Amino acid sequence: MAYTITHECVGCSVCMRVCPVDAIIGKPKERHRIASEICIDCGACGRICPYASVKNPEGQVCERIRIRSRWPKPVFDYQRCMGCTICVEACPTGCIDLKAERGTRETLRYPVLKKVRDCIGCAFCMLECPVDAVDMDELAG
Amino acid sequence: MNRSYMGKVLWVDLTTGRITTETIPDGLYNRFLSGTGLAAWLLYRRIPAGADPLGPDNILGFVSGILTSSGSLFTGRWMVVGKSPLTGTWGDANCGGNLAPAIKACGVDGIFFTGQSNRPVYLYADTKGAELRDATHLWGQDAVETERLLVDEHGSKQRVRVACIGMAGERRSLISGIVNHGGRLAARSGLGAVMGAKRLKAVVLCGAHRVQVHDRKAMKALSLACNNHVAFQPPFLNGTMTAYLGALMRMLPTQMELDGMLYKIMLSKWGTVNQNQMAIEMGDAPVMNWKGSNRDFGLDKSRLIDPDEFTKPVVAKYFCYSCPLGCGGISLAPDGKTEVHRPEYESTIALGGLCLNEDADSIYYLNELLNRAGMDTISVGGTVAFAIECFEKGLLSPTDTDGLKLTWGNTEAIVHLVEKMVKREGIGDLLADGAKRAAQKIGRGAETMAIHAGGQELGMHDGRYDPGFALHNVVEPTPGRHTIGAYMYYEMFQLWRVIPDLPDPSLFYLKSSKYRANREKAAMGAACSQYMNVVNGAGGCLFGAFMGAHRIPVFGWLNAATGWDHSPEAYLVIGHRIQTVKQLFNIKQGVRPKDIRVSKRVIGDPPQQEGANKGVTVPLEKLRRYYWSAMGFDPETGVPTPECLARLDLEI
Repeated sequence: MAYTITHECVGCSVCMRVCPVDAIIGKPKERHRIASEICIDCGACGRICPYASVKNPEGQVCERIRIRSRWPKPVFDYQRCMGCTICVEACPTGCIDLKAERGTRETLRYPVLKKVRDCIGCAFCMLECPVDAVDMDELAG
Repeated sequence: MNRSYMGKVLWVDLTTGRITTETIPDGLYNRFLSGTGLAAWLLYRRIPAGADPLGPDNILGFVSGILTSSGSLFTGRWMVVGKSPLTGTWGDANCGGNLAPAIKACGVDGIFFTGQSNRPVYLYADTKGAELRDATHLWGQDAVETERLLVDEHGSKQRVRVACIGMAGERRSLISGIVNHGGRLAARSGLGAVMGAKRLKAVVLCGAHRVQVHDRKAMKALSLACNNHVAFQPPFLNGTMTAYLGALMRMLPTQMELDGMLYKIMLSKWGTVNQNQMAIEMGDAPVMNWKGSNRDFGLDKSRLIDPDEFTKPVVAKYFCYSCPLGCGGISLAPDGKTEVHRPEYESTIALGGLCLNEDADSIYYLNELLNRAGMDTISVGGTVAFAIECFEKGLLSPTDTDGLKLTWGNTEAIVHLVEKMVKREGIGDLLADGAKRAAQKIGRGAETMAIHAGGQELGMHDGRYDPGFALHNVVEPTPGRHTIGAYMYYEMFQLWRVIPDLPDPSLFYLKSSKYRANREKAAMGAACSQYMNVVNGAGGCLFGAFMGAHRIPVFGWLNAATGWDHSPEAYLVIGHRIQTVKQLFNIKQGVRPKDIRVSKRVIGDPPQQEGANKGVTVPLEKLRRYYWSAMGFDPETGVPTPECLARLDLEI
């Protein structure tokens, strides 16, 4: 399953620039295509497309979120977080990292959204967290 | 495909540069899981008999487990596999760090290298595909620096994960390993030398594929329940008290069944170094090249490796991928800025008590030196201790050692010797391939001082204290392995709680009962081998497994992730099948299982005259016959019987 681009596409290429895995192929001003074997279903193309021309794997047209800084961002519940780094490894853009805190042998390094502007709001970190310590918040950006 | 595996592996021919993807049928995962299981099956069939481990016919594989990235815990181990140049047998090495999820993020369950490149290269792989790139600029760099350079080169807007060799692997040291995440090593089996011989400097993984599982809700429920056990962390003894606890355990004639929760609490508090002094006191840690005891390295000499004292430089916990416990430690180098990994228990004893080295700072220094060089601290410590004993017995003179006075506990000489081993310089060249090969070159009886099983130096757990270690040192297809089985491992796995047919040890038992060879002990050993093959096929961590099968739901996770409905018994049959294929691998490569031996000293032949393990001898031959019988192998030769192969659907 993968996202698809419909006839509404005008070839503005904004989706190509946001795709974290270069799965979108196409020339400017021509309809683009998503390589299904590369697509990771992050949905960034759908959130950014100004022409509502991207459908999710379920066939629904994705809703644009006009201002990127309003895309949902992860917030971490450090009471639940155990520092297992699953969210760090789940992030396709590498924008989550551990806080480089120093203390004693008991000190835990918790995850933090280090490169806020690189976050594409895919929510993989939230979906993968085994203890529900990550939530997506539109105001967090 | 929502089965937690990617269904594909990558093949990279380093001779031609050709890269292909192979689809793996579902049935193979069902029979061998992923990780070392699938790899054992593939390599058994594809490495030709008699292949030179350092030649183009050997295959080097990097594999992740079936549960990695599935939402399970303690399942972030990656494994490297191939024919070991150190032992000539099936070789595998296991590491935490952050590479395991990165393998699956590239859309495959494993990456296998065949052939041999004529120039240094590294593999770059991401979501779109893979290619070989020139690594001339990296050749000669240490592993930590190599990783930093590659992350800088590739990491502006993606996650970059690296496994690479240091100088030791490049120089084909047979005790070299493969390094990940700033100095975590897949250290054993000498597979760094295989990578160096193939002129493969690094594997760089930048994929972003997600793993789809059958029932994510069930996975999460199981993980939450498991995490509740991990979170249980009551106040515990201080470091000094652990040493006295070890001394008390030495003095008592009885022993108590070990519950892994106790070990979990200690691991969480200090990491593996929790048992530094305790293991010496109770007889688990070898001392003075396995000929000494707690009498030679008592509390006065081991005080600087007291868990509290030894972890003072640690500034934060270190977690491998998907680990809720964090037994690693990040400490500061003497410059006060650079972060390095805290030495583990194995390194501390190998470079400490085994050589009677009391200097904790030197252990930190050597640990980082060896991590950067990509060299196995266990084998290095074992080889240095061997060299010191050779010097003591006059088999090595100051002329042979480039002037180094190799006496017990001579920290300065030990440090210089290890530096020479890394550089393969002078005496270091003789020792860089491990104790067995050095002993063969020295001759004159040096073989009796080289402590190994089948060519590999032993982990820092004494079979005279727990005969299960002695057994698994010789029956595992990778000899000298301390991470598969022991009687105390069996007690901690608590498999009888989910498989009632397995032996349930008494809560208290006489220590003398440990030295009996019987069917119950064999059944315990066989269950350990089978279970750890399942754990390694799942990408699981031994320390997680120690919490007990009723607390870490390996079987439940496997069913929820894959959609299978196997019983715990059925999973042990899969583990049995994997172990049998590894045994067949050795036989195909001309290694007769009965020829895999361990140095007599470590089984108490002759018995020690003092210390914690005074007077004990392990009836290893008898124990091994029982074990092979329990596994369905011929009790005299260790060759799997036709009935066993038929039962495991392995009629080849």
